[in-house]
Amino acid sequence: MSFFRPRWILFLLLLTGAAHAQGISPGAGLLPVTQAFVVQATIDKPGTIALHFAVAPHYYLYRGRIHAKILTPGIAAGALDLPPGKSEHDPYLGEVEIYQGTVDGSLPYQIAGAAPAALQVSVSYQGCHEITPKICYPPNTQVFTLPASGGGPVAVTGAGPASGSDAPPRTPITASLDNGASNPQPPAITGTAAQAPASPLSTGLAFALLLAFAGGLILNLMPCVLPVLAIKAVGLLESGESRRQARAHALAYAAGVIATFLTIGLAILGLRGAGHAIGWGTQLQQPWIVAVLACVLFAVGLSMSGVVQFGTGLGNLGQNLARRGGAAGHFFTGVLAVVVASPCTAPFMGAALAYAFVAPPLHEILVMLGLGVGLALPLTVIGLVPALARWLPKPGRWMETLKQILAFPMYLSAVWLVWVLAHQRGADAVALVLAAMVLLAAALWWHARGRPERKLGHAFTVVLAAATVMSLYGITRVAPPARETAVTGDAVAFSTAKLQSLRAAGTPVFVDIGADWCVTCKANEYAVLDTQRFRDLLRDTGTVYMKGDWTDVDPEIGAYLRQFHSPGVPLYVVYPRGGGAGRALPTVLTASLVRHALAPAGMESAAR
Amino acid sequence: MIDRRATVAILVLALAAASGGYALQRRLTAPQQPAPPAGVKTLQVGDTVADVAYPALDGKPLALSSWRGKLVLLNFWATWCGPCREEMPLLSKAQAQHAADGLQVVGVAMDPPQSAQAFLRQVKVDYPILIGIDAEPEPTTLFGDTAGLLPYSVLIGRDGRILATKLGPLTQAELQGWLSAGNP
Repeated sequence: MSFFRPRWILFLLLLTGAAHAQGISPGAGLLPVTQAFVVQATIDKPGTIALHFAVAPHYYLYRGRIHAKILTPGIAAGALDLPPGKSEHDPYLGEVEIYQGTVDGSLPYQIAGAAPAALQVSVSYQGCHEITPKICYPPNTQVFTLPASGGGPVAVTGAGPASGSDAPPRTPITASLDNGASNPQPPAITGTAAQAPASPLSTGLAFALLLAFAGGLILNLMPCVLPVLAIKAVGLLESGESRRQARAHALAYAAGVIATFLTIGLAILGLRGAGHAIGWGTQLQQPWIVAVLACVLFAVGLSMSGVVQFGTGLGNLGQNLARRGGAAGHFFTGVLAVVVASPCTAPFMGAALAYAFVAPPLHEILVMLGLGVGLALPLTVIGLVPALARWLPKPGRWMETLKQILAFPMYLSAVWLVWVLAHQRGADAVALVLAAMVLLAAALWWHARGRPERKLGHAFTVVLAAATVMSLYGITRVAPPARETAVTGDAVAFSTAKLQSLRAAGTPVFVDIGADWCVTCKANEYAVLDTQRFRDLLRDTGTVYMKGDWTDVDPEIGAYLRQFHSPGVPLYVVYPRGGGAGRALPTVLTASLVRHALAPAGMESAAR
Repeated sequence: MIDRRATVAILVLALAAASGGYALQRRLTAPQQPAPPAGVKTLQVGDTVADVAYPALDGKPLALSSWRGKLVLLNFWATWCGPCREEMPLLSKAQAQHAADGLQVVGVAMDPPQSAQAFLRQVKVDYPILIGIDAEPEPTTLFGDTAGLLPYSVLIGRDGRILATKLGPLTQAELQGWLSAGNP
């Protein structure tokens, strides 16, 4: 046996190495123009707009085709200052300068007369893809709305005269950039007066807490909590042994849930302080987190199946509750419950989170605690109230069977996460995460059969675990595939420019922002949006179905979500015919709700 | 040991999983180009091109149907597109060599007429250039290039049906392939 071991290690390392090498080669698809060239505009000091261009690898921008214009009347722009680019010889145009990587430019401006609250700058650019297929993108223009003073961001809520009357007639919905990093106000989104929704702060603390609590309760029932329910069910059955144990377990679980929400609340405060865009479920935009979660669910499933018995270390996350006295196990079950529940935005929770993300720190923490209490309550009550606990069936051999059955939802959840990863990073990442799972299974298996006195055996476990981590690390190096293919059928890909032109034309629009990791979105698609009835409804009302995909980080969609104070996805917005204000729909759709929302959108035209 | 019932159950499950996976794969496989805006028709390979006309450099509209009966290679380009400019000498040569076989290359500039004219004064091509930038519906979208990426070429058969499309510059070999496909 020992003769073979080094060879095995070598083989496994080669395997992971090969997968890794494949993983870093870029995909052949083309990026959408706003991902190939990511433009940001900020006012770092009054009088100068800073422009930042990030060009994706294998793409380039023409320096001479970057133009910036200030649209707000009364503000005069100076000359656009761009650094020299890389000089390339063009057989027809002579020397042309191109940009690769990141470029910082600046546009000075002067305000004549009274300073408006916000200014709009339009930035146009044009670039190409330099490897096969060698193509060029048509010129693209993006409009940014910025606070003119360079001070705090402009918070336009409700009727905003500053942007409503002064702005040019076709005010685009824009990606707005927040430069007041530590300001507790929401990131400023200005638009025409009609389209700005009410500030979430109008909700009020007491109501927000109530919403948070109700949202947490309902989170127990959301589809993405399926694996959590599996864990909980097993925990519940094992705690049926004695009243004291049941109480201890329930409290430990509740502590785990609430502590995790508290941690998230503090993390959000920290990120907000650093000026990051945040949202519920955004952690699943990071492929490595998806991969790690998939491995965790797989490992928990293995332990529930009885394939491996966790001794120490990793086992804390899992189900060795009886052996370890349970408290720590139940605590971590609570942690895991929150982690896995995160892709869901339950009804009510959206409004509560929207409030939390802009509220003062103490209120934010309170709302997060409310969510935690709501999520933990049902199980805790069962554990604490003896009458309910006594009602539970007696433990026995069937418990082991049930636990093994519940392992299968865990595996399916892992499959779902792998599917999410496939959308984010393609086949290379899937190969890596599957390799990581196999290596993890091997490590657990080897660890379980090893004897404590065998040092070499332990070393091998460490090697296998290291190989697992290496595979997971490889996922962070895989380039994202082209996301142009995300939209199918009769839907239109989301773009603020497109939305603006449709609205300018008075066309009713149904905007659907979702993500692959969002189970609520998938459930809505299955139940409502992907049905013939919905397609008929679109056709009858002449509504354009615009779909945005937030599976990966996307600043344009992030800005749109902030505009509706949406903490995450799904977000559904209906724009009526004739260019009226957009109205956000609830996160859980029903056929009749959508019909009612769309009917007036289309009817208005009939009346005109 | 596994009895017969278990074997049947496993087979049924495997079949269900396979068909589920197949259905999922079919739903997730999307075309290369993004979907066109709703209400805008895009032409696919096999479709017959309705008669569209775009202004020539002198401003007079020229209908594509004026070349009906010929093998028409529509090439969408712009002066700001390096790969397009690199491709144009090849297209010009093909036009010169295969005009007798019924080939007609037609360039459609997605540029303002002044820019296209200035460029064409420096670089001569042996085929007509139309201006597509202000046409409705947008010519690139109409012919299936919904993202407006350039260069983009469309091969229209003698019967007016689209035989092939290509995003990115054509190579000599591809051009030969198109010529033999259009001249059976």
